[in-house]
Amino acid sequence: MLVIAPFLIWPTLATRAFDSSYLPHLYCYLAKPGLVWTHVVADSLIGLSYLAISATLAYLVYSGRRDIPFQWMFLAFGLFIVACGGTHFVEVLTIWIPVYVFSAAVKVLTAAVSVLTAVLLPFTVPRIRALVQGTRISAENTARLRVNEGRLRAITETATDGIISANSQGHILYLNQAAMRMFDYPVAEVVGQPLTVLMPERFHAAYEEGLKRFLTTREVHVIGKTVELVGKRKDGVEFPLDLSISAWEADGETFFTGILRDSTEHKKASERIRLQNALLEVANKELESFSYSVSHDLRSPLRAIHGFSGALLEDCGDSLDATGKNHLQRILAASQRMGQLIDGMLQLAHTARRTMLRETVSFSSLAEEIVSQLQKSEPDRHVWVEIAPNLTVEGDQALLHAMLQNLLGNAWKFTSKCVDARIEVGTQTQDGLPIYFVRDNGAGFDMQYAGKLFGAFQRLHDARDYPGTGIGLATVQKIIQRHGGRIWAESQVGRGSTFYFALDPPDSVTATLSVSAVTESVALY
Amino acid sequence: MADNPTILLVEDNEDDEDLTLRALKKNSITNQVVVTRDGVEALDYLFGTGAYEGRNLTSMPALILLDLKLPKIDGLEVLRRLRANERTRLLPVVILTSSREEPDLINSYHLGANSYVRKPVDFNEFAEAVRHLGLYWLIVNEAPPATRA
Repeated sequence: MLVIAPFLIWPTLATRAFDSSYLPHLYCYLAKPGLVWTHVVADSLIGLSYLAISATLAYLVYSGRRDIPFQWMFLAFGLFIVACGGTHFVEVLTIWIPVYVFSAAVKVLTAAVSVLTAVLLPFTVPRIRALVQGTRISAENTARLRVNEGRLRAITETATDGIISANSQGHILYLNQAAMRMFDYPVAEVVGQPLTVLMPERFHAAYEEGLKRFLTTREVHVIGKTVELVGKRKDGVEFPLDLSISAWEADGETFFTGILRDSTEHKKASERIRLQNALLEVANKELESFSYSVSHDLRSPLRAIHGFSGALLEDCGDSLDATGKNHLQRILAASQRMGQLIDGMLQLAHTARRTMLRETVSFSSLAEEIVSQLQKSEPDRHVWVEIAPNLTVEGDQALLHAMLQNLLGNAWKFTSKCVDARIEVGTQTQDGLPIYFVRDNGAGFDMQYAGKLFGAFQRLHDARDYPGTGIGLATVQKIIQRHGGRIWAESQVGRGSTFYFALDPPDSVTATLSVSAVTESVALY
Repeated sequence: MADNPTILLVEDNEDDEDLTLRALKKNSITNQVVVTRDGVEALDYLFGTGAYEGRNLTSMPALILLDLKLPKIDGLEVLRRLRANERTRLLPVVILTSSREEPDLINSYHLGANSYVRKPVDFNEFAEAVRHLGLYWLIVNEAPPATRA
């Protein structure tokens, strides 16, 4: 339109355009060769350059027509430059041939194109700015992506688990260092290979079926779960592995990433634990049958010894002298005592073995109940007893009862020779945790022997003064241990003893139970 | 009881047998005591089989004192079989044994024992336990009708 407009406005232009009845520019330059050729060369170079620039722009627009926005602007700019170039060629022409009308027409055309470009250009400024900004943002995004990618790479490359990515055909796209080590493959050998190279042949069919099913139906079987599989190293050696797979999509294609862990060691460890548990189970069973046997078989002959010694004393006592009777009394007492020892031992074994319950136990009530029983058993004794009110502990009621029975029974027993017997049950805080104590002002013991205090059948007092089996405190310690706690004592001969104990917070208890129950039973026998 | 019913003692240990009999005698329990020395013999007596073929089965013991550890068939099995039989189902059975192990207690009661007494080592205590048993099961307690025939 712009090109033919002047012809429409000025119909005679076509014939008059090349009217050369004017003076050529040569005369203006006085035909001085220096000036003339300077103009010719300069204008020609300018014109050629403009043409070259336009050609480059045209090529750019043509070749990048998909990506380059504002194509019209480039074309207008190219046209503007071509037109400018044209004016310079005409300048060269008019040095010799004075076609000034044509020259004017070219200038009008150039002016039109220039004005149009100049007018349109400001309107596009905001859009160009947005474009420039977009380019900058995308450059920043690219940088950020690069950082992310670097971070991701660092994570995957240093991960101790194997990481493998594959495309929807199941071809390996990537595997990290750990995966390479796991399968003993260099990257170059596996990238592009189907995943089946990493698995034993017997799993190929199932895997391919699963892959196909997922891709066609999106039915999820293993995606998002951890499954136990078998991997195959390059040398064909198989190993167990735990695998979790995720599927992701990009550009309409599905990809898979799997995280793999060689579970050989884990499997071995589990197997070891299983074996040890089985051994413990056997040891426990043996202990059980041992204690059953003790319970049944050891007591039976003892009963005969006691029973027939008694019968002898009763039936034939008259024909025995005092020494003979005394011997029989000794047999009776000894067999009786052995019966008590066996019972104590069984009780200790039972304490170590029985299933524990955990509940809130009123420690104060337990203590009161036991003391009232002790008082009932020896109504003539006067013991001043102080029990701190509202003491509660977490534990097995029956075991805690047995423990307190022993501790209070001891306190009761060892104050039997005191004029002003005192027993105290209370609590105090140590390292922020409650500890409990049972205190008496009885016989006490030499702290030198404190180490023997909690051993089975260990006694620090003469049985003639204070009878006992030596099982009580061993049982007490066992019960405290089964509650995850500890017990210790302070004493002074003739001044009394204090037994302190702490029960661990509930959480830490269960773990120690099963093991300690067994090992301690072993220690006992 | 007027007809002075029998006591069946199932005990393999001769010492325990003698001591039990002594304890009964000591407490003036004069009922006839039938002693069987293993589970098979006890069942033969109760069902009139084997050595007791032809025994008058209308006469059943008023009390069975049953040890647990027995040759051939143990006490728990004897208990199970006599509880499964219509004729002996209701007989009072007192487990008289050395053990106080939890499984023994649980199994005994589970199979229908009426009482469980652990034999003490001390004979005096044992005699006292037997006295209580005799007093309770032979005098205080009313026996189930079938055993009165």
